[in-house]
Amino acid sequence: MKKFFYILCVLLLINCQKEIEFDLPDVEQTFVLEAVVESGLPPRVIVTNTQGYFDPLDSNSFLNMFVDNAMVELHDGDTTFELVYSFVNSNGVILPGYTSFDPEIIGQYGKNYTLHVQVGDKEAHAKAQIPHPVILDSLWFFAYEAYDSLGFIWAKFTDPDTVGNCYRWFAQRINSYTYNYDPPFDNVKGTMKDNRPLAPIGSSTDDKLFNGLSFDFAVPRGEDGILEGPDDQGPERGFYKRGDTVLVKSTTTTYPTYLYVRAMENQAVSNGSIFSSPGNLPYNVEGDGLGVFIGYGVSYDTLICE
Amino acid sequence: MKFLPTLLLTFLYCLGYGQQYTLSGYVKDASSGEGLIGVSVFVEELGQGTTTNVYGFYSLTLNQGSYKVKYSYVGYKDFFEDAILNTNVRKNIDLSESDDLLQEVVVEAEQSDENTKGTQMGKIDLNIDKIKTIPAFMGEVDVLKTIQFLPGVQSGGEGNTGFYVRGGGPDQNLILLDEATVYNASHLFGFFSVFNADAIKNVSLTKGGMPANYGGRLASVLDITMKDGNYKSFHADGGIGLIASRLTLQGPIKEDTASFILSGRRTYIDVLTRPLIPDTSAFSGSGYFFYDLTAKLNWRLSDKDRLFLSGYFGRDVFTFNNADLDFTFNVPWGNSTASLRWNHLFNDRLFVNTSAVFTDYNFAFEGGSSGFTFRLSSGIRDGNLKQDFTYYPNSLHNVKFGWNYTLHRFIPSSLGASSGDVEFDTGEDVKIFGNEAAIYLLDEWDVSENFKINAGFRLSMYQHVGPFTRYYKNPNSGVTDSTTVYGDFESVKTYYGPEPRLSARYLLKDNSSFKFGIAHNYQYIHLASISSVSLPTDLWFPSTELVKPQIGTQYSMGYFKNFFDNKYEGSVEVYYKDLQNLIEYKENSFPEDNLSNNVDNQLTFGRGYSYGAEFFLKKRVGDFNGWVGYTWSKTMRQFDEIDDGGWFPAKYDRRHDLSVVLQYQLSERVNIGGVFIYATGNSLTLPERRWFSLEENRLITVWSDRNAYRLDPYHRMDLSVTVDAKSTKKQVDKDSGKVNMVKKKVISSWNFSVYNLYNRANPYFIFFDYSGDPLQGSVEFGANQVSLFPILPSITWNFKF
Repeated sequence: MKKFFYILCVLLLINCQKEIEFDLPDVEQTFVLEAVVESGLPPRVIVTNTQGYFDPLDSNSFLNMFVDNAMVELHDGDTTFELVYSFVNSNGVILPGYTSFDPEIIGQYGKNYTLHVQVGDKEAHAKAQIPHPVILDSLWFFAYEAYDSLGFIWAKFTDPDTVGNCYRWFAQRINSYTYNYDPPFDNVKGTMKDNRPLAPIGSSTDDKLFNGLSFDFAVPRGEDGILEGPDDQGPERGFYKRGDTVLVKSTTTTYPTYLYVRAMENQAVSNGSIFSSPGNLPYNVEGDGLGVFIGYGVSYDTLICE
Repeated sequence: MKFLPTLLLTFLYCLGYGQQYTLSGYVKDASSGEGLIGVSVFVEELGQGTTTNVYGFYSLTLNQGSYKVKYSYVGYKDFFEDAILNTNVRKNIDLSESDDLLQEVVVEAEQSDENTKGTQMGKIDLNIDKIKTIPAFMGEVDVLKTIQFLPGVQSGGEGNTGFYVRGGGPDQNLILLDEATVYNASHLFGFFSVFNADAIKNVSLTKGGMPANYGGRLASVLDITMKDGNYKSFHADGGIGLIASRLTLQGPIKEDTASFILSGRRTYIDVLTRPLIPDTSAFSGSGYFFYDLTAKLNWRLSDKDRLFLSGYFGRDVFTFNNADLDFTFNVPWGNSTASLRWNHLFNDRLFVNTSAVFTDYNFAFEGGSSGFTFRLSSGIRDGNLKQDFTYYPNSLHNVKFGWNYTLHRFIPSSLGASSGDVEFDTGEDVKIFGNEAAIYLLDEWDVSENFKINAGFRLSMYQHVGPFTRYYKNPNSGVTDSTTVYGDFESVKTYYGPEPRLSARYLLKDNSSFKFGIAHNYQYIHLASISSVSLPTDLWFPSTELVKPQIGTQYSMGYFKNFFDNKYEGSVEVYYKDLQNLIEYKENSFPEDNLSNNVDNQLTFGRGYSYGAEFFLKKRVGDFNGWVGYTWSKTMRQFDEIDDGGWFPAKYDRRHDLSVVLQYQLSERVNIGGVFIYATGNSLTLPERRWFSLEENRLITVWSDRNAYRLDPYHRMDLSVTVDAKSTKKQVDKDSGKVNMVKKKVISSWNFSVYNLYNRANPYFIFFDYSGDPLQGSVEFGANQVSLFPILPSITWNFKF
């Protein structure tokens, strides 16, 4: 009888899945800006092209997506700087992009920035601001009993009593793996766990729920986008581990950035989900291209998970 | 304005001209005492007649004289009465069931030539007993699923709540259960309807020219009448199925005077799965179930007064528990309704029904983890008072007039959240109050023997009243720039809606007719959905100063013909529908945006149209019966803030929709039913382009224009076999030793159903994925279709005693 019930449940819950193909027409591609100004760092602007959704992604198409002939100008309210095509440091990862080595353009709190980009006869522009940072009150690690040494980072935070503050959380495990995992991660021992600060899904918020309040909150561990790490599957997924040293990068940002990050993360987890409607992201780049221009006011803290 | 009542009375008086007398009364089922709806009361020598209303009442006013009156109703023996009208005559009639009851087809529990003779287009009545032989999902008889086999009525597909009528959205259907509005008519995300078929007497769907006594919706009226309960003797009906069981009890409180019916149903998916989840599992305590309870009491207070008290209560409850992470959530939702109705006969020609109705629909999502708790809820509650008068001045006119008032209370979104001892500021619960009212007058008029019209006018009004706070948001910061606060009962915005309705029929010589209809409707409440399919999470929202009333105008005409002595009937109908002030959520709206904000600040507004042709051919009687319905249609939408204001197909735009429903009475005890449906695939928005966010290491999708592509067509075949157990047994007479056949106390039947007979993998939703390793530099992108149920057999045992 138990077997019968089991079969019944399987029948009820079963969902048949199969791969299907769509015959999409050729669609005109456009350029995309990803521009960031961040307190204490030079600006970085990565210009790429869109690709057909179902086109394969390989090393050739990856290299071909970068746009190297754009004219990029950044105005900081006083001076206009022309950014050069070089390599940019995106949170510790070196990528082809546009930047400036002029120390005058290092990101500063409270400044407003205007970006202008021209690719061939197409132009785009966008605005961003670096808000003043809000420092976390304290950080600690709490391991779940059922999971032995795994847990989340907790923080105590006091939001300033002014509405409209927006935040984004990043964290990077700067300690190394002490053992190898199953292939293809059988050679990670001794390498730094995260090679840049990572934002978990739900990393950004505004303060409409907690304006002026002081409260505790827990944050799971983020993943590096679609790049899967050794501990991004299995029981360790989403958890920090006792012994981790974590560099917490807490940032303040603007409302348009919060809206963009929220939609981008939602898209990442719900491509095709019945609980959401397909929608393009709320880009803040205007003109011919797509993309986003973000400002972060950054503060750092370090936590040893004990 | 003071001339209006005088004008109305003069009009009504003028209709009742001449030396005439009235034959009136109630028509009931002889065995149960239940009032019968739509019984034909016909005077053959005059070629004139009427039908009983939803309470079984009829009134026929004729010139002085003697007449032979025929009472006829599908499934019942004709009854003839000699009426001598030299005074008003009250005649209550009891009709007995016909012996060949099983020969009738499911649809149309009304007179055989109603198809051609009625004025109302697109009105269909369902024979609830016969629905039980149509194949049903998991053997659960379902009126909502059955009406989706009719032309012009579309299903959203498996896993979608609601149904779609002639290009209208699921919110544009008025679903009434004993006159109480039901806002969400589905259990388990649309797999089952909330209506327990055992407790239902009649189901009537109007999808064409809506008569003026109905209002508040644009697309259709699904009017469901519950059984009164048996006035003669105590009975029980029930069924035991694989995932749910049901039981209905009914009987007299006082014979022929008062009766009751009580019906309940519950699924036991949770009970069945519980043994599979050990107590030690982290997921122990997770599960899903639904239940509903329907009850009705009736009193015949006097020959002129009747009282009905009916109610419905149903809940779906989904619980998820993860003990290891101390994470749990609970999702309950459901409807409650209560109706108190009083029928009164002022005289033989004037019937009035007074109703007080309460409706409540709630959805909640509550949960918590590690000291963090939250509760998100939304709901709608209505209090409704109405009076509907029916005046029968003579046999050529049937006049209806009345008024209707509803106090709405909407809670579009309510959130509470806390972390430890800290309560988050989730703002005040936004409650929106509205007064909705209407008056109407209509006359069904036999202009000549061939020409008949149903002309009416409805004047509706909606007023958004305080308390209410309007938030004006800064689009760049999300901060509230300013607010306007309205006090209790202060008017925020008032709308008026003049709603003319007209339908007409011209009877042709060859047992066929031509009909046309125009209906102009206002709808003051709206359903907004963030998800791509209809779910209980969809939000009911009223008209405000930003959200104007939806306005629909439908033009329809059709040719109707009966063949072979009304054994077959067919129709071709065409329609065009214009829709204004439709709503959608803006792109990238999230439920939390409703906090300290007005929901309508997240909405965008547009319009639409739909046109189509519907073909229907039905074999009404015989061992082999059924119907074929086919619809060709096109439904488009336009919103200024979507796709740069371009027109796009509605998500339920469907070019072809075919339904075939067949039944065969193999023997006295065995009935075979089959269903085949084919529908153009739902429209779909696809990812056309992508870009790689190097800041986030994520692939970002750039979507196509709204609904620019199509899913694969939906088609499916279901089969069922219903086997009645022998209803008699042998009994030996002790005295004579003679063997007699006596009726069994318990009559039962087995229903074997197979859903999706040829195991078609119909698309439920599509998700997009990649394979390969980005670190290895090679990634392939693909689309995956998820389908729900494969071939699914079920068995149900039904009983009655």
